[in-house]
Amino acid sequence: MGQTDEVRTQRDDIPIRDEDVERTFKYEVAHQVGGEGLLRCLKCGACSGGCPVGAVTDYRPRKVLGNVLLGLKDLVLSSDDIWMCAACFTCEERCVQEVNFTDIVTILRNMAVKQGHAARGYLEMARTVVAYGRVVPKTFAVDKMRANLELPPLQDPAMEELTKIIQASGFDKILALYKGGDKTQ
Amino acid sequence: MTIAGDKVTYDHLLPSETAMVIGGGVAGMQAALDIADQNYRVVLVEKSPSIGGVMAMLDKTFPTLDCSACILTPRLSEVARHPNIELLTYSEVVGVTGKAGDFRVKVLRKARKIDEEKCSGCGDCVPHCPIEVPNEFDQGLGFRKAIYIGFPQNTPLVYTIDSENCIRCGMCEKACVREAVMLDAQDEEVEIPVGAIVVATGYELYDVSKYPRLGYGKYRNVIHALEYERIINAAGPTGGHLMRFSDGKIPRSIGFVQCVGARDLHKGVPNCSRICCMYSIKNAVMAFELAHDHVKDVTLYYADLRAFGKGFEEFKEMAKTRFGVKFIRGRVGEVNENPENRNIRVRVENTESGEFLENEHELVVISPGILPPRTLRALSNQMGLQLDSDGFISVEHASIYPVDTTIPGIYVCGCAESPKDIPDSVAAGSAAAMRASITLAKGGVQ
Ligand SMILES: Cc1cc2nc3c(=O)[nH]c(=O)nc-3n(C[C@H](O)[C@H](O)[C@H](O)COP(=O)(O)OP(=O)(O)OC[C@H]3O[C@@H](n4cnc5c(N)ncnc54)[C@H](O)[C@@H]3O)c2cc1C
Ligand code: SF4
Ligand code: SF4
Ligand code: SF4
Ligand code: SF4
Repeated sequence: MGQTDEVRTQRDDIPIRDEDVERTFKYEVAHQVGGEGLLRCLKCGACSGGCPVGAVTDYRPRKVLGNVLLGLKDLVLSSDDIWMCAACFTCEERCVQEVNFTDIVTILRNMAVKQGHAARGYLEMARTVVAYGRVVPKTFAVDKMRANLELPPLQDPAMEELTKIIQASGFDKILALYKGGDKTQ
Repeated sequence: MTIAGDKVTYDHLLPSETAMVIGGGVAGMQAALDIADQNYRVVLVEKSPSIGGVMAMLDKTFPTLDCSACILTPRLSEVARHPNIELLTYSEVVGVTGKAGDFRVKVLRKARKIDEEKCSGCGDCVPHCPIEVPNEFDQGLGFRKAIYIGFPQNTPLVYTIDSENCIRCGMCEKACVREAVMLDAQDEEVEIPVGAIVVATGYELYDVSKYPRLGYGKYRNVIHALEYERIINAAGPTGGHLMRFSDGKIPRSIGFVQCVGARDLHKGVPNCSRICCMYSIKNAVMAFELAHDHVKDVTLYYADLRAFGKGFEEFKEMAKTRFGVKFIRGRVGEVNENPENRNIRVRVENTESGEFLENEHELVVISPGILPPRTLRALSNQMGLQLDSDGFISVEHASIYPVDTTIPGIYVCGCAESPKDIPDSVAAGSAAAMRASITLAKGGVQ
């Protein structure tokens, strides 16, 4: 076999081509708030071994980190994987290297959204927040349930302030990138 | 010879000709022998009732699978019989003053309540003692009396009365024909002049119950590696019969869990313990050796396998190919118990294939990392020694003065300095002995 680095092979035999590797991707992630631990990851798998989503799907937090460290930016940001995390923080609690995966997945989602890869469900949620000020809209059924539990009725969201925050943070501009579930521009 | 009740003094020892070794594990024993063989005197201070350290508890040793006791026992008697070695077991250092060539060490001789000169180690007293407590030497798995030796090769072969549990019934006193029992004996403090000191206080295991997700202390069929060593040891609490504790059956399937209390920033133990990979491979092989008719599956879950020493990689390959030990690269996420048969389910990702596994084992053995003994900080404060951030003793220079502490005339060896296997501990023991005898030969001048 010749000594060439043209085709590198990952464990599960997906060939990785040089043009797919963005060498600085890991630093881009690590330099954001919450991403500081990324470069410490040993890919030991303790996160995957305790992940409740991984127990029932083929989602592996360790694999997401591995791909980030390899620099497979497009693959990571366009994959469904980063939207699978239930943010239970089990991996973050157990990681032996204090990698804080749950924070990293948030960073990856934010990057993905800007590139037009927002998951449909999350997009719907974001639009509901802009329209009604809540992730889950206030309905008659909810009011009734609260009354049964002797809880006070929900207050109306402070839409005026919320809209200001949405505009100041650029949240609306990001959403404007999408039409339906797809990116328009 | 001293008469019971007489105050023992050490005025006959000259600091220019005497060294002290603190800790009687395999490293400290080596240091003591090598200094004593050069015709200096050695006072060996050991806090437990016997010398031998952890090695005395082990069954076999990697990578040769030599019987641990077979190698160690002759050394124990060599130390005990050496005319130049004075053995102070059940004793602790409580203060050090002076400087290289002329230290004064205060040693607390805890009352063992048995006259060391008179006790022949016959054990006639034992059946009469009504008090039974878990035996520390067996990791609490077996039992001993309040008048006891931890293990048959206890060196010196002298019994000890554990004052914490003794009810002073006097039965042992009546049973002992040699009149060695001294129930009224008190702790005694002695001052010993020495020219050089070797610290060889070894290590203790990480308390694995601090990982609730791994089930130790909650599930009976989760044990740690030193407990496993005692179970498979012919002199241990089960007479060498490999078994699990929920039902006493020979486990057909065993899982070993690596890197627990080691390489974990979250738990404040970032360092690798160096020995756990190898001792677990050894113990995995021993399961097949001891119960080959029963044991069908032995799986070792690791983060990285560190088989760094001479013959270690070959040993690992042999475990894999000749014995069929399965190696899975993945740090275990969590374990839980199958309530029907009390088997342990191990949840782990095989990081080489991406598979999420839930493997059921009849016994799970956790491999704890090693920590400096809890008492090391107090001891090093007494001597002015520095500790590294991992809590082990700092050396002058890791590469060229690997056994010199930051205080002239005080040396360190074995696991007191960092995690080491037996060959490295012994080599360091010899090195520290050489450095200490140079200090003695030069009268303390460096
Ligand atoms: C489960 C297990 C299996 C292992 N298997 C192997 C193997 O197969 N092969 C191998 O090479 N290594 C093995 N090891 C490692 C081996 O145990 C160590 O390398 C060795 O015991 C180190 O010797 P030591 O003298 O430095 O320390 P220790 O054995 O810990 O001895 C230290 C001694 O100092 C005493 N002491 C402590 N503090 C004080 C104090 N303040 N004053 C006086 N005395 C004190 C202690 O009571 C003890 O007797 C294994 C370890 C474990 C945990
Ligand atoms: S994030 Fe942590 S637990 Fe997961 S593979 Fe990396 S080091 Fe291991
Ligand atoms: S936080 Fe996400 S990745 Fe981590 S264990 Fe929970 S679901 Fe899995
Ligand atoms: S005096 Fe103490 S050691 Fe002796 S037999 Fe009674 S309880 Fe046991
Ligand atoms: S020796 Fe092996 S098991 Fe022990 S801490 Fe190092 S890598 Fe982990």
